[in-house]
Amino acid sequence: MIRFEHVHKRLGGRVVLDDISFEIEAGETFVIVGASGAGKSVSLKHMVRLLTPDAGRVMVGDACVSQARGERLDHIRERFGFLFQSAALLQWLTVGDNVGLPLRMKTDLSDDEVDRQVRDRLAMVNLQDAFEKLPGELSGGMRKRVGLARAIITDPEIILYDEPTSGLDPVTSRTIDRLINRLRSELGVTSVVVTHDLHSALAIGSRIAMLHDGKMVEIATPDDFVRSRNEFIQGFLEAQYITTQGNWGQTPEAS
Amino acid sequence: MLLLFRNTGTAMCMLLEAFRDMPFMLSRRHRHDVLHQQFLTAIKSLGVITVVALFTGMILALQTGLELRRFGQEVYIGSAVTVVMLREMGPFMTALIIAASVGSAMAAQIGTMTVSEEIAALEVMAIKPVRYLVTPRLLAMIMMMPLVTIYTNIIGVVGGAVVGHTQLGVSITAYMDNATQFAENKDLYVGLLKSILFGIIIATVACHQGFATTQGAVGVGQATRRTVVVSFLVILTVGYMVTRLFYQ
Amino acid sequence: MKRSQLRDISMEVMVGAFMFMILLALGFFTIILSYENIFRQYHEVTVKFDHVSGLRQGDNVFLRGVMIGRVRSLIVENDRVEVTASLQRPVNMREGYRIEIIPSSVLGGQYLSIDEGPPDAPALPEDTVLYGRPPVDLIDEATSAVQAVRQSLDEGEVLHNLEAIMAQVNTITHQLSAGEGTLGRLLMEDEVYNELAQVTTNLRTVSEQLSTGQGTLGRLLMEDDVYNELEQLTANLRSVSEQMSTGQGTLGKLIADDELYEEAQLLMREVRAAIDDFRETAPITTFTSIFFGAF
Repeated sequence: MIRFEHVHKRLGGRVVLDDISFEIEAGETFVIVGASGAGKSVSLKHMVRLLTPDAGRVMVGDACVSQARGERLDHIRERFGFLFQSAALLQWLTVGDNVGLPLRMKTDLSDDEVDRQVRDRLAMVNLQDAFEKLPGELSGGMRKRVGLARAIITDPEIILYDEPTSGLDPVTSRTIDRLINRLRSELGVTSVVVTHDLHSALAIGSRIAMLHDGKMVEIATPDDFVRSRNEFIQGFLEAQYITTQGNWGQTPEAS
Repeated sequence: MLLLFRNTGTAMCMLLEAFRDMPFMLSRRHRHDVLHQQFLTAIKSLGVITVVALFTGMILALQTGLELRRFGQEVYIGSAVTVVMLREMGPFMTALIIAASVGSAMAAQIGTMTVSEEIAALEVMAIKPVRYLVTPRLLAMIMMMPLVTIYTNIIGVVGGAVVGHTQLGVSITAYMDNATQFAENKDLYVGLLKSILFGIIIATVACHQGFATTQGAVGVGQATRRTVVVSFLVILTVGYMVTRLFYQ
Repeated sequence: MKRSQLRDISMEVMVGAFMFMILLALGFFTIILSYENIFRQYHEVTVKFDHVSGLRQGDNVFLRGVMIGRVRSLIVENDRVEVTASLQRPVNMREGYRIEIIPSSVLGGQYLSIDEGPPDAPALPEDTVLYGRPPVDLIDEATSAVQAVRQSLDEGEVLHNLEAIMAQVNTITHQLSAGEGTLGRLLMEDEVYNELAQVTTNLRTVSEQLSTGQGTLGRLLMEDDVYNELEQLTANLRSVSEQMSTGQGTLGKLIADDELYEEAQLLMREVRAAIDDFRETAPITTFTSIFFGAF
């Protein structure tokens, strides 16, 4: 579905991605973990051409997103939903307008139809009552859910999550995790999640990739991941008090 | 120097793109944005513009009046104030106020959006940031700047009349008569042309600085400051060139 | 949705009202500035001038001092300028009418002044071609005044007197330069003193002649100031010559060496050259220097 081919990227004089190659399968939830500054968000942004690789290329299906321009780039981007770390809601628009923005701008749907779809997506993230509110009136977790509702309003094939649980309390984080899982099971979308929250990664990922210093050090299923002998992964796991015991392959909410 | 050229270049590209997207503004979705920007540009600034215009007119009348009084020609403040307001001070003062208030607000808003990834979010949603953010602002500026300038002119001339009447003993009728005798339509329309150019400058500089914002809240502050400074400079230069063009 | 819709409507109304008001004002001002008034009827008057002295479109038109309209257009014809004015009321010209272009201030600006002519004169037919008088130019006026003064000077005795003065001054310089010799001779010989005394006498004669010309000059210039100043000048000349005639000791003290004497001679030569030049251009220069010197 998404394929990185020898991607190099320098930002501000520092090598952020160093010859990265991997492939994300359709329908899976691919989690990229790593320390801050390891290049997780950067690799995510390459998928929608918010950044362009210095060398190598990024393929989405058959299309090369790294070289697309204009309309073709728009078409590729329309296949994605992107949940930003800060949710990136437009502050002066109500929640309803924010979620409905892509529909209003890109389609000819009537206002009523847009409203209906917006309410539908808000219901999916349990925020039916927030329709008239402004983003400033919402808590961080609620904003992220609104961002998620906006990301899925156009029924994308792929949803990209940039740190969906950062800055949230553990309970809200688990709610978000459950949402991600639900979206995958209900809509059948491919998900790419960037996080440094290993609990979250292990709970939602079908495969987990570890980025360290611009290199991909491991790509494995959650079960294999926690048992990895890689020293960076071990350090990462220990830092979050995760032992190699237990069965991590299952989602906490198997329902 | 290279940076200056590069910035000018990107700003011009953005301006071109914004102009190219003008037709989209007719659509129902965008009309609302344009209207909102018109509201912000014009109506919200009317208060401060009224005060500034009134006092500009009053100062002009007082200064020229005191000089002209030495020759016993106080009645000429009518034409002095009107011609200066129409040709220069009206568009110029309006542009300065709008640049400092609306322009800096634009830069701060777009800058914040850039910093908090909202611009990136728009791009990912395949919504062109220029079309969505710049074009409505540009259009609103182009439409409202001349109107606000006319308003400034009127208030300035009225301010001059008040000073003329109270301080210099020039009756309102004599003032208006003198004003209309010397001011020409050309003065008015060259002034309006200037105000349109100033509007384009303000919108372009503000939006460009907003998009070019980096480094969080500090960057937003810098973008705002640069917007005001750069628009002032460009307004002054362009103002001089237009004056030079029409009044050889 | 209700709240935001209401906000939108009020915003629309405000923006719309603002635009409407401003456009109305713009229209209003455009009309005023182009000197049009669609609600009033205008009466056109066409006047032919030889020269309009910078009259502009939009300048005021006064009828016996009352503003009644504005200059609408200026068309340059072969040998004339056709000025069209639109007036707020009809004006019936009578014989002996006067239409003039008058400067409205020293700083510039003109207005068109109309006088229909004496009330008892017969009215002119409607289709008469009206001719304006040549414009009154402040500078021209001043020039002609000066010319009149100069003319009377030429005719009067003043110039003769002045020429006499010149001749005498010339003689003085000749005498002075003829008195070659050392400082000692200048100081010791009586002849030199006599010559100096002669100069003094001559100068006094000049002053007296000037002061006798008092009546003529006073009458000609018709300005007491000028006369007074001339008199002042005369008095000064007189006192100078008196001081020179009495101040021989002082002169002796002052002129201490040859160098000074030579410089004095050099000066004399220059003065003579200057006076020669002066005499050639005497009629003009004399007058202008006196005239402007007086101010």
